[in-house]
Amino acid sequence: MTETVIVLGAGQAAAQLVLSLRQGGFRGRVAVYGDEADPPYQRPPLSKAYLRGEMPASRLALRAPALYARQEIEIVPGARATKIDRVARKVSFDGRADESYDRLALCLGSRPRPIPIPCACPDALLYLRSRADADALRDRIASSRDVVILGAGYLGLEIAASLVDRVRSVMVLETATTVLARVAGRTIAAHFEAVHRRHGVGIQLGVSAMRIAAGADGRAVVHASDGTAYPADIVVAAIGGVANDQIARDAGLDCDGGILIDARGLTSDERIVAAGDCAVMRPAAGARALRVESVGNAIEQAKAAAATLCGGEYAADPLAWFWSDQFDLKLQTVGIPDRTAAEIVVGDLAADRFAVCYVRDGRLVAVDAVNLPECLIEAKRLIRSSEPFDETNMRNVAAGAAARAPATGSGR
Amino acid sequence: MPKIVYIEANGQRHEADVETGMSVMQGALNFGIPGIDGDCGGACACATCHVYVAAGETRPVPPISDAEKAMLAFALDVTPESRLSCQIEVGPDLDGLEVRLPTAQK
Repeated sequence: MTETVIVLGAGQAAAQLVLSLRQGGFRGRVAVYGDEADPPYQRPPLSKAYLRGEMPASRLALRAPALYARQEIEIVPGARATKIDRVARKVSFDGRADESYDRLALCLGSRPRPIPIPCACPDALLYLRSRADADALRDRIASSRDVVILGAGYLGLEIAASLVDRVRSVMVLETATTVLARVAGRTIAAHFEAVHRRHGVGIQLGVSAMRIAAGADGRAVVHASDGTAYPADIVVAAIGGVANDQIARDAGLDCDGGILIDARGLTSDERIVAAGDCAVMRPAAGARALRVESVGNAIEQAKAAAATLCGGEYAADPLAWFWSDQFDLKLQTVGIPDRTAAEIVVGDLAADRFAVCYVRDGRLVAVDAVNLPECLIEAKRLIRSSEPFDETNMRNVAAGAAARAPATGSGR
Repeated sequence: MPKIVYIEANGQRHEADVETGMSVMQGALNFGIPGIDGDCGGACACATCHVYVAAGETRPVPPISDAEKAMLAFALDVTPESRLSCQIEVGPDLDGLEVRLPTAQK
């Protein structure tokens, strides 16, 4: 029987993993070491309601501290792990005693990808990942007039939507020729770009920031590849994330853009599991490893890892899901949208109530639904089944959504 | 603090004090009620906080929104008493509210 599970990292995956451990009957010691100041909290609001000051910090917590205490789960904030000794089975920390483990869970998360350009105004350059980052950004917004955001992925666009009515100008610079280039198809990209422009967000596509200089007025100036200079009080870089896998690589665990795990959450060391943003599922032979950063992924991988530590099994739901709230657009996604798939639009684009069905070889692979969750239900069923995509049926679902009687039927 | 009563599908009752302004879902998460996952954190995006509020409930439970109606279709075993507990904000006037949990969320 395993006696001590040490968890490194204290985010969504860690919180799920330890609670699932107790639900699964694990009675040994459970201790969670996170390098941030807070116990596990939700990150999605940091670029949305929390950034806008519409959600108090007390609501960010994933669970009440008392719950961890009742479940005899130790949560240790401010603890940065520096080394894993797999032979002695202990973890070293910065400024605190080593911890021995029987099993180790790595829920180390990810960090913002640093922008690879010279910056003469480091004080003006901000990233958004942690609550501390969001607090810093909020503090700076109050005294900022012009904001430049680097990157038009979901995070960059959510930040733009949250800030555009709080400052004089928001300009988003994106290297790709569309917004959301890596994460959504062309229909969604064009629609979100138009909505952002309508709300006053400036978007410059196909340009890269080359350097951030100090302007004569003490503000930053972003010099772009097209020769344009954008003065800014703050520059927010949102060009993706990088797995926090250094400590695992140093310990000799197999990593490939993240800590490689199998379906049970096991790393290349059978005493060590990993889950969430830091982990990547070991791909099938010949396939490319795809690391997913999402709440749903963190929860499913954490449940699988917890089951493994309890000696059981959990069949993780392989269907990816995401959401993004921008202005009045509530986007929900199932599957992984892919620009090699055909895009079939159902519903009403002009009314901001539509879904984009991504179809390849006659099969539905993903759906982006905007203010139209009804289409997701059918999409989930279809993606899981091996049935061919039926466009007429999906159109009927979309058309029927407005008229649908509330909350009846099997709902399956 | 208002008290919310969570009743598991097997009949197990849990009484939890839930801070005013929190949702019935967050109250359940904070109390560790089995059967409410709340995966999306209350963004009305996942339908894993499905509960039943009795049709005869007299406390002023906030009305169901279109977004909630649509998301509820994701849940299993939906009935006319179904609600997403992330959309029910707790206030003093809900003190004593009973919500029943479905057998499964997914």
